[in-house]
Amino acid sequence: MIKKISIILIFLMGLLTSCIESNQLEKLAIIHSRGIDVSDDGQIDATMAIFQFQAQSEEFTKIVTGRGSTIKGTINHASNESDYKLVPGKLQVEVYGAEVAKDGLTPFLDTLKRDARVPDRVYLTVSDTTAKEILMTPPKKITTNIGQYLQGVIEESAANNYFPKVTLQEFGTTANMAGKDPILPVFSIGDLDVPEINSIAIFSEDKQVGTLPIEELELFNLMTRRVEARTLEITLPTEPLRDFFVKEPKEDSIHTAYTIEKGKSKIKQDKKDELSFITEINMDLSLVELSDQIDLDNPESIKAIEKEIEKKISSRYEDIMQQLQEMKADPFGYGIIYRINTDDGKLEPKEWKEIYPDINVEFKVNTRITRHGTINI
Amino acid sequence: MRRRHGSKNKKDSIFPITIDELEKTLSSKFENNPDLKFSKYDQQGQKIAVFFIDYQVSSDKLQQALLVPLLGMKKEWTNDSILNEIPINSGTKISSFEDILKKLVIGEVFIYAEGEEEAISYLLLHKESRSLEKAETESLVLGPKISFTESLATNLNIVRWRIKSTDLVLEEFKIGKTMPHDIRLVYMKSIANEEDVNTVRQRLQELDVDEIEDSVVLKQYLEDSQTNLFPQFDHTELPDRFTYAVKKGKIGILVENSPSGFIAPATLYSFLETTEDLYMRWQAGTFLRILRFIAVIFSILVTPMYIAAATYQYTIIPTQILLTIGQSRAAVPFPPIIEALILEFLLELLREAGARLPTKVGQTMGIVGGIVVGTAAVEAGITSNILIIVVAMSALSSFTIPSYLFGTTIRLIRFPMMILAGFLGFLGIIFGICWLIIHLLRLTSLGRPYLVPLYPLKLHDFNKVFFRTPFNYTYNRAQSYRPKDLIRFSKKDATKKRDIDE
Amino acid sequence: MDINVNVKSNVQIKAFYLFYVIVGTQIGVGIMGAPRFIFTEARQDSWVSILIAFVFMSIVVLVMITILKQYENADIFGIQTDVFGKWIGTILGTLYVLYLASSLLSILLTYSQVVKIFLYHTFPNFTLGAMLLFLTIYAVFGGIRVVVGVTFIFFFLTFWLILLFYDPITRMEWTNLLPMFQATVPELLKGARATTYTLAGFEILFLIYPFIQNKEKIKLPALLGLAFTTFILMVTTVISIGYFSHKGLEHVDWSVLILFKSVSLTFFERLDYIVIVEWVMVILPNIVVLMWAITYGVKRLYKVPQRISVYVFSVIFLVIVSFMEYEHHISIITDYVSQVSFWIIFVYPLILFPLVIIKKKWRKNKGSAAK
Repeated sequence: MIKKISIILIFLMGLLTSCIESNQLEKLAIIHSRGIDVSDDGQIDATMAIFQFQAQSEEFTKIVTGRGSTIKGTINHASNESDYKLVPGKLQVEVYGAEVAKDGLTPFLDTLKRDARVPDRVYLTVSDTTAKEILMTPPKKITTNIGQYLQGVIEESAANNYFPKVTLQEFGTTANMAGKDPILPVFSIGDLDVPEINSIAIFSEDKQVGTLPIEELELFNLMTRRVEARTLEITLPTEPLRDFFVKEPKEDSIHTAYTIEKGKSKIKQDKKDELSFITEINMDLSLVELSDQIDLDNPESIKAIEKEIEKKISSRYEDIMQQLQEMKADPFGYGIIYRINTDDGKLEPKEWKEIYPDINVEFKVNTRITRHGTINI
Repeated sequence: MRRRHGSKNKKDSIFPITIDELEKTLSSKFENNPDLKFSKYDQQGQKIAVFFIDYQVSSDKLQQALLVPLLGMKKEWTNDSILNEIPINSGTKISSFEDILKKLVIGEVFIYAEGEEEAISYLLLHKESRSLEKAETESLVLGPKISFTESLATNLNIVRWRIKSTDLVLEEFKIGKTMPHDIRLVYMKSIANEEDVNTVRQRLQELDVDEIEDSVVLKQYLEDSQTNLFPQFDHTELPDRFTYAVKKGKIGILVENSPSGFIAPATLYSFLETTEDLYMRWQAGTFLRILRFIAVIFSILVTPMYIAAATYQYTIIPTQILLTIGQSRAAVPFPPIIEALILEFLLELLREAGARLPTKVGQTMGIVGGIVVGTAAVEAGITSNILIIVVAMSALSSFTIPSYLFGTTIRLIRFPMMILAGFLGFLGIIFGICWLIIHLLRLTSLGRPYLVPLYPLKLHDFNKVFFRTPFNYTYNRAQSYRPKDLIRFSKKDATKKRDIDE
Repeated sequence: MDINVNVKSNVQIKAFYLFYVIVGTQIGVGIMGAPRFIFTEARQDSWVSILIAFVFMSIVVLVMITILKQYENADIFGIQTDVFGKWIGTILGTLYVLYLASSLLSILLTYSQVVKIFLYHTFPNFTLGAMLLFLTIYAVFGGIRVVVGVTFIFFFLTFWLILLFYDPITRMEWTNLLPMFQATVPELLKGARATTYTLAGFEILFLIYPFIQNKEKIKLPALLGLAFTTFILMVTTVISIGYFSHKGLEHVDWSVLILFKSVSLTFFERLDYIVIVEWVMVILPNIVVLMWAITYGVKRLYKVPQRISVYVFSVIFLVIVSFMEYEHHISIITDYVSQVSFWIIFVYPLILFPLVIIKKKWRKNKGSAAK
């Protein structure tokens, strides 16, 4: 009995499963990275770096472009250029043109979220001109194809979940969150004619409102998560450290570099004034480079350097904060702390946008230089 | 003629009879058969006949131990005096003619003194058998290497020597209506579960067949279910594996003329155990056992997964590998399922050809097949090179399984799995796995669950089945087989801890 | 119909396996979308709602056990016959079976929906239904031993999915759970009620009880099973709240499946595909247990052999599943099942309990009077 039924079932299954769409690898054009621009007439221009496999040629990457009023429409259009079926299952990098970012990313995120085939790990980035320009970088300049190159640049400058690795999920969650705004890395064509990350795009909800230089990257990382094994560059004035120099310093500033062994931050709200916040930043540093010789055997010298670093970093933070308040963007998430301490735990994004420019933040930086490598000067 | 009391129940007795008549009757039964030797001797007017089948009887013994004393006898030849005088211990009196015929065939020598009511038989069996050799199908690095031979007596001898205990029972059965075979049921009286012994006994007694070819055939007759894929009794040619199982409370069965025995009840895992696991240190034993478990799973799943990924779910392949697979797939004109089936078929052909050919040619075959055909297939664009690696790995894993029968089952399962993967992708694979698991859950061996000790759960047995622990933790026998006596040695003594420097 | 069931000793199971039966029947398709429904009601205090649901559920299970203990070896059908008489007992029993059947149906439909969204857009419901029901028939034919075995083995085969939560946990925004204790009591209770569909399944105790060997040890595994399910639901809900923004979670249909979308291993990317496929192993114990319960119920009520009713029900399910395509209809069925299950499995035992006690007292009095 069971046998008969199973035979019938298997037969039927064989018949019916012919309707499953098969995705045979060699018949696909796999979109690896995509650039999105909007032209003046409101149409979407998509530039896509794809992989497609052909028996006769070693070349497996290609750039195709498509136009349409939806993103799926651009894919359809682009598939005319490739004789293969374009699929988004392996999308790794998505680049948005500067104009697109300023108008808001929500319409473009919809299909990424709705379509279950698109991975949540797509890295979102912004171009400082158009996305097309980034993706159309001549392939001779870079060793791999452009898609993998962009992915490599992002991943190489960020281990784990540090910025500038911002995934679709992270961006989507933060953009929707009351009291915190997302940031994205900005690609531009640099001096070497290849794309590089040169600044941080500051968003207010899903709209880009400005940029900050990429040098502040670690300061952003410190504010959002526990930081380990990252490099930090700081330029200190020589004047306060004059006593500890081995020889008289020639210049009035000294360049130093450190590895952050452990770095953490904490935001507290002032009990009395709900618009005042205190941000504590604790760092354990290991000195890895000095541009001039300082006598490090002297405990006093280490202390003095620590103090200078603290001063310097606080002022950098204050600088950033001032710009952010002008942009009405809150990537550090002061709004979350504000929301948690309100009576009903609710905060509308609009409400916070109005309060935000008026908050006061005091930065308290504590650093410890625990090690200075194999030499003591 | 006088009729004596007692021995006249047999209807087919032809005795007493004259020697000439006896010869006539016998040769009518052995028509066209020149092998029946019928010698007549005369002494003081008394006639005596000695008859046997030539090659079934050891002629030296016949000459030395039987004929010389018989003909040199000073007394009158009667059954009693012959039994008394001849220095062989197995003499019996037989009156039934049917019995005589049966026993002639298995190598007994008959003496009939004219006028007696019964003939006397002596077992002077001569049996050609090969000497003990190294095991061929199940090879071991450590431990005893001999294997069972075709001679039941030799096999019993080996088993007896390995288990020197009066507990060992070697129960005899005859299976086969027209051509009977000797069967021995081997178990430890004080350990083996009585219910299981009874089950096997009952199945043996109820078995109604004309004949059996080999122990593997008998095994299939005795199994719980004929329709399923998996072997339900463990089949082995290694005496140490056989006796190890018997000592742990399982039941062994040896069959005449078969160079292997089998063990019941079996579980899924018993096919993945070797005695070598015991000979290794426990860490290595554990490692090898787990390796084999992984190999089985790997062997079943790796080719279907390749098919599923290449046909439907390309997204799960990491980008770098995706590029390699994509480029090598581009030249292949078939869908992945056909590609994989071709290659698996090729591999099975190689394996089968290697098994049929003589050893030396077989090795050449393997090299030719593996390297030449493989490389050529990739260059001709019939398969992708990644698939060659995948298929080779899966074949390799299937060869790590100690039991040849089980290994064949595993190789067989791959094909439906591949087809499912080709039709339904990963959903098909999971469907196949679920079916397999439910199938295994339903299976029994001698009425005992096939997955024990996993289900029903017996945590105490895990260290005998899934991994090994140092010997002082294996103080119990496996509960799964419900032995009569669970304890091997005292737990207290084995795990006693002494203080430092004491 | 006999009130007590005669069960042969070789088909009895140990009370220990009740843990797996309960977990296997509770965790199924419901959990894939549960966090959203709970969150909509109780916001960031959803975990409190789940705890409330657990407490309530434990009380119900204890009541159920007490009811069952009043009898020697009875199941729900026998008890209903005893309390309400033959006719009403049979009608109530039929309703019970219908409820079980509809919840099986909703599982099949929901899963086919998920497969279409996440895996194959054109996958026919019929094929999926045929596959799952084929496995179910095959398992149910093995009897209670195999049914329990399925829940046991598949528990371990799906347990590793929990480990994959390591990735969403690292991406969580813990502050989303703050401030705590903002929800009002009605909100919390509504949240607790939203868990019904996910937590339904422990009613199987009413049916499987006669098959348990050591009935005195039944409480611990049953409660542990509930606790485990609660734990899983709690973990997934808390992670979902942290992983999505508040606004986002309200609009995500299968939040738990999406949690797996960002998980990726070096040799396997996109674990979500594997997880969705693996979910067959999560729902299979569900379907198998329910199918066994349905056919067992029909056998008890109408003396139809299970061999026949398994086929009949499978064909019925297959036909219905093949024609249900529209997402809206499926959510109507799911909603209906979750409404009904609240009354049948959470409230009904509490009503039955006093009746059973009264009946027992009455019989005792009658017995002593007769003496």
